[in-house]
Amino acid sequence: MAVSQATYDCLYIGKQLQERIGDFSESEIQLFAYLACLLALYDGKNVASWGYIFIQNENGSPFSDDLSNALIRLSQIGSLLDTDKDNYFNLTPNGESFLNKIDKFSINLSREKYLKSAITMVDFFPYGILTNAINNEPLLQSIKGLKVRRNLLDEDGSGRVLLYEQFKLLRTVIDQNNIGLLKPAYLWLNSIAFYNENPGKPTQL
Amino acid sequence: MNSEENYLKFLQESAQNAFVPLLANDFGDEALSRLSHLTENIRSIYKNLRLRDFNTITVYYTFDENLSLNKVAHNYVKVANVEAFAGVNCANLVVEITDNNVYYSTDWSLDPDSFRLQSIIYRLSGEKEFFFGKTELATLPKLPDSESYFQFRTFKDLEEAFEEYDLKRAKYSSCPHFKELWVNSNRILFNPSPEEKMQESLYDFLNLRLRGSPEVMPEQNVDRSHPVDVKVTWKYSSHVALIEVKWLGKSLSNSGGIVTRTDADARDGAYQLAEYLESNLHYARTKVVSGYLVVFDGRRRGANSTSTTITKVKGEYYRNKHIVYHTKYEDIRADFEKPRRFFMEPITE
Repeated sequence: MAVSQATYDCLYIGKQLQERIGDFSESEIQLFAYLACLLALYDGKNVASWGYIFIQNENGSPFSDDLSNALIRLSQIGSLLDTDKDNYFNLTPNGESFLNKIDKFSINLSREKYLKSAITMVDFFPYGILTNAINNEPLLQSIKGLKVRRNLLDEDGSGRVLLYEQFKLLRTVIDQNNIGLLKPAYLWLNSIAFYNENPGKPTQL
Repeated sequence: MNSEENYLKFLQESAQNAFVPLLANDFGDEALSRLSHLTENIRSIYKNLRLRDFNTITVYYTFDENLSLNKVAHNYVKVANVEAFAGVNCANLVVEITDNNVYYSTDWSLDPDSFRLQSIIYRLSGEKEFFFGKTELATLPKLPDSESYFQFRTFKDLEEAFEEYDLKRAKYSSCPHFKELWVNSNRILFNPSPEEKMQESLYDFLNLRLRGSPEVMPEQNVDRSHPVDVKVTWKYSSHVALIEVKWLGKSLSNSGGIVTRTDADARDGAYQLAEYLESNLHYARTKVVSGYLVVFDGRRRGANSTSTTITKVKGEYYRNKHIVYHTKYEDIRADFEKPRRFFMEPITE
């Protein structure tokens, strides 16, 4: 089996979610991989370097075919198991040893920083607030309900402009010497979750 | 100020006051992995506690081994498994998280000022939660439907669901299960065996309404001799709610007579529930169990077996007549929650 970046991301995110909340679904893998991808963009990486693209699914959430296919393949080879047949998975010992093998590949070492920062946000936010915040970031918001099936991170589009505008403002409050991603990731998600443009009215989540 | 300036102001304030940047500013970015370890542990511990039983809960991670619980507290316990917290009972709980272990003390209090320069300290006090920075406090956002920023919604969500159920389903009998509940549309007498429909209605509502995919099960045996009407088990928590359903008012019986249930029956229900909970103590030591008595109140003043209409005064007579419980179990048992009463409105003349 070819080891794609999507395969690594599935195993890495799955393992981390399992440690924190017991198991994981495909939509959770998609959501945290998408957050990791956005953090790579914040960090100055090129969209193309992420290795796979996201579109918006019918529920308005990010979706990658590559991640979905990787999840199917990992289930077929026994790395993931859906014991209760409820679409929630666990990593098997086979999956753990597979992850241990591939996490030393240089291509994966470079993306671990983004995946780890994305997953650490689970420790800093109530889970429902975090997943709502990711689903309400500017790119996804800008095309909600439009039924467009194009690469979410295409160069054009008002969502991308707004996202980069937020990242630009975010950089102004982060110490120049700060090279970590946890603080910017937290501040950005915190602003989506709790910033209320119209004080007095409840923030829509 | 335009919206960009407002947004920037929010970011600037958060960068100073929110708990993650505050602690990163005080202890360095590398301390955030410790903070992540601390919050992950708080979440695990909170799955096993009923937070309202405590005045304060303090959880800390220290960079100075001289401030470890085993050096500063007279009595402390090393925790083998976080499930052990289900059995912890005290007013002020202090927990220390180390890289590899968890310790707690139930009879020692932590003075933040003596610890904050070398420790990350979190505290829950009443309804407030905060982290102590070296000099400043970071208050956590208060979430309306949760007892803590770090706890999955369980009992509080259930209690809010009861309020919603009262207004949306019980008050005006507006529920598919209640179509056959009353003898006629003026809602004066119940048809035979109303409790079954009430249990089904409540079970259905909770099944749809509760967040976090809890398992809601009708008619559960706590043990062989103690059934409860509805049991709620949350997936990501050790919390369990046992719900006992009672009804008040008059119902036709299958033999054509009248069955009357008064507030004495509600008091019996409270006694039964307290008994269930006592039995449960011996069967589920690793669960945090709360018992709820839910009373459907269909009392109508002066109604009899032939009543088909009722005056406003008589129909609404019991609306604000609360049930007097001679034994207030909620004051003597931590696992007994305040009883709920749903007054079911009649249609009056």
